[in-house]
Amino acid sequence: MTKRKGKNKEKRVVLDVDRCISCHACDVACYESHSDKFSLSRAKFDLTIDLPLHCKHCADAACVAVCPVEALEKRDDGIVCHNNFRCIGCLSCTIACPFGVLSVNRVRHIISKCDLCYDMLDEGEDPRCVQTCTSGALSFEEVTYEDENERDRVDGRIKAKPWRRL
Amino acid sequence: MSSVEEYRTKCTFCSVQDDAILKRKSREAALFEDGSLFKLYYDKKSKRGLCPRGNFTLELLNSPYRLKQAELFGKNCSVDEAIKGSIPELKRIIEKKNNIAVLISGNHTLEEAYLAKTLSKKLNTELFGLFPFEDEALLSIKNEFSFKDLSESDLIMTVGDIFSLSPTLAKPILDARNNKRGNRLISLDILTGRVSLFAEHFNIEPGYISYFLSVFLDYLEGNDKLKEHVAGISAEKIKGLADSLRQSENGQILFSNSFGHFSNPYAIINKLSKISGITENKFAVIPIGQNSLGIGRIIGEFNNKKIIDAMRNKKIEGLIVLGGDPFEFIPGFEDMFGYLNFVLSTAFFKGVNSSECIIPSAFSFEKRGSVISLEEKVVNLGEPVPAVGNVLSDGDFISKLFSGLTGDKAKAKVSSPKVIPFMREISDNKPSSLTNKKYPFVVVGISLPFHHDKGEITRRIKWNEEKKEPYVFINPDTVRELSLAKEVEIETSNGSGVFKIEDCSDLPFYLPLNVIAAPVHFQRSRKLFSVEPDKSGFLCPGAEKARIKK
Repeated sequence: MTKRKGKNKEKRVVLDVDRCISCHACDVACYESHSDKFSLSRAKFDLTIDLPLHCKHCADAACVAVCPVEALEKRDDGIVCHNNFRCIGCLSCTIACPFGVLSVNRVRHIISKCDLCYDMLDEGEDPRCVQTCTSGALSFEEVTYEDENERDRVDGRIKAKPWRRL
Repeated sequence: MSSVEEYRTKCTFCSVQDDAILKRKSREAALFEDGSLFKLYYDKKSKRGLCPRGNFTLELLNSPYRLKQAELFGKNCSVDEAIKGSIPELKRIIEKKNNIAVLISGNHTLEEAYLAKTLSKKLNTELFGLFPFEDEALLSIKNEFSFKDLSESDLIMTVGDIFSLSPTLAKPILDARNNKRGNRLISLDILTGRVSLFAEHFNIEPGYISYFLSVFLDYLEGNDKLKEHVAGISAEKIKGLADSLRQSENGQILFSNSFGHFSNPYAIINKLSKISGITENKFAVIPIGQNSLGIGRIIGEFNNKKIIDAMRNKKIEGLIVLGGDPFEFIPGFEDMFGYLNFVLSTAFFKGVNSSECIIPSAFSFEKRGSVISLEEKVVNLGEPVPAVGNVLSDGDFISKLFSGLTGDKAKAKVSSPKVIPFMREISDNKPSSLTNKKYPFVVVGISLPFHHDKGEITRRIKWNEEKKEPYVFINPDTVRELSLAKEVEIETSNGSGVFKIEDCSDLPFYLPLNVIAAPVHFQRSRKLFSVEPDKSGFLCPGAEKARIKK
């Protein structure tokens, strides 16, 4: 597997699956602050686990590459942003996304995606989902791709110590 | 110079009272224009975030559907006109003693509660009670609790699903569990809830929890004759639980209840209090209302049973409800309502059925004053945000009504709120089985922290409108075995109703085969539960025996 090193050190939302109580506070905070759009996908594994899935703002973002109208673009700070006015709702990005985190707004016929609350980042604050998290499952941390080697990290963005739930 | 207004305040949704910051760009912007709307920021001071319901509070504050004008007998009017129009009716009613009841919500400030107590005396009534009714049974406990101690506890035992009812307590509880190897989180409940996913869970049969605690207390007090199984828990596990509680150095026991969940909460907290004493752990209750502990202690008595009895027996003519719509929180109120001559309520939104007089009330962050926290401290709410429209705080409304009634200025007699002592020894040594051949199921009220999936419901005024019909969760194996249709009629000894069976994948926990879980924010679901006094004489609906009619 190719490892990307060094320059890709960025701050991202990290989920500690061992702490998430599926309270949906992150969903509501996101919804309230993004003009009533859901930008977080959720992963339902079984009756007991329902976790938020954030856009990973990939270094080489497949969604940006496939967008035919350049509605998705990667900012200098690494955040992959979506332009509602350009989006034609072709859903190419949802198919290209390897993590399945892009959700479709079926009323507006566009996609909605996490923008890491860049307005908050500009004010030196963490994204809203992280600030509102009730159980401390979400954190905004500097992640590097070397983190993949850490025992408790999956893809550098998800912490897991499954024994804690046993 | 920036014109941004900033208010540091406390979330008023529940008793955890997390810190929040509200900001808006300009007070001068047009009403409900972006600049005039408040935005919520999270105060890092609290370190606990804000739950979905706390986030949702802001939406209620900004809602264009807020009640902004008073109504008297169905007609819009000013608050002064409404008060003036109500006074002759009230004066007639209060000629007779105890002819009117006053109910106050747990989300009022201490100052408002003192004024309401003064008003109820002037209204010639002793029928002054607290809602939500579930909180009344908790007033005999003085909390031994601090957030700092909680996050450093070596053992936490929760009774009830605290992660669903007060999600922001999850962070200190999980911090404590993860702090040191050997720290423990134990959950006692009648079904596996959100806490139990992270805890050693003791699943006790619905209706047996008080009995289980009696047996457990008996064992702790030195009676070694444990049966092999008690309420589904083996003797070995009970001994292990006792050892854990005895060995903990700074353990904490927490109790929380919701509508339709635990029967006999008064007996439960009585026993938990004794258990915490014997095992030298701390004990605290987590009420639903933000300031239920403070308000209940200002009331100083357990009056709810008397009030409901008076309503049922048609012994009162009037009702004043401060801070809510009685149709929403008293199941079957419409049946009791018909004969009441005058109902006056202060509310944020107009309900489907309306009272004779409705006063638009200040809500949550718009309130000024102090409350009692879970840590038993008097906490100031901070500077209130300006209220929308012509709404009044309930304190101002009571003052106006008082001076209208008497011509004098309301002066509340202030004393320090005291814990109401336990009434008597509660014995509950007999298990109360909730299932029999006629009623093979148990329906249990549950509360979801987000109310509905993804939080869409937060865009609604009434929480039940997202999924239009009330629904219940039933174990899929039961659905298959009984070949149940998508909708079923559920009958309890108290009432019946048709409910949609919801996909269990929405429910983050396992349901026993004979348990039906009903989210109780639907008024129709609430009607399944009886508002009859329990063994201790409290009106606190708990799990009910039920059957499914195909």
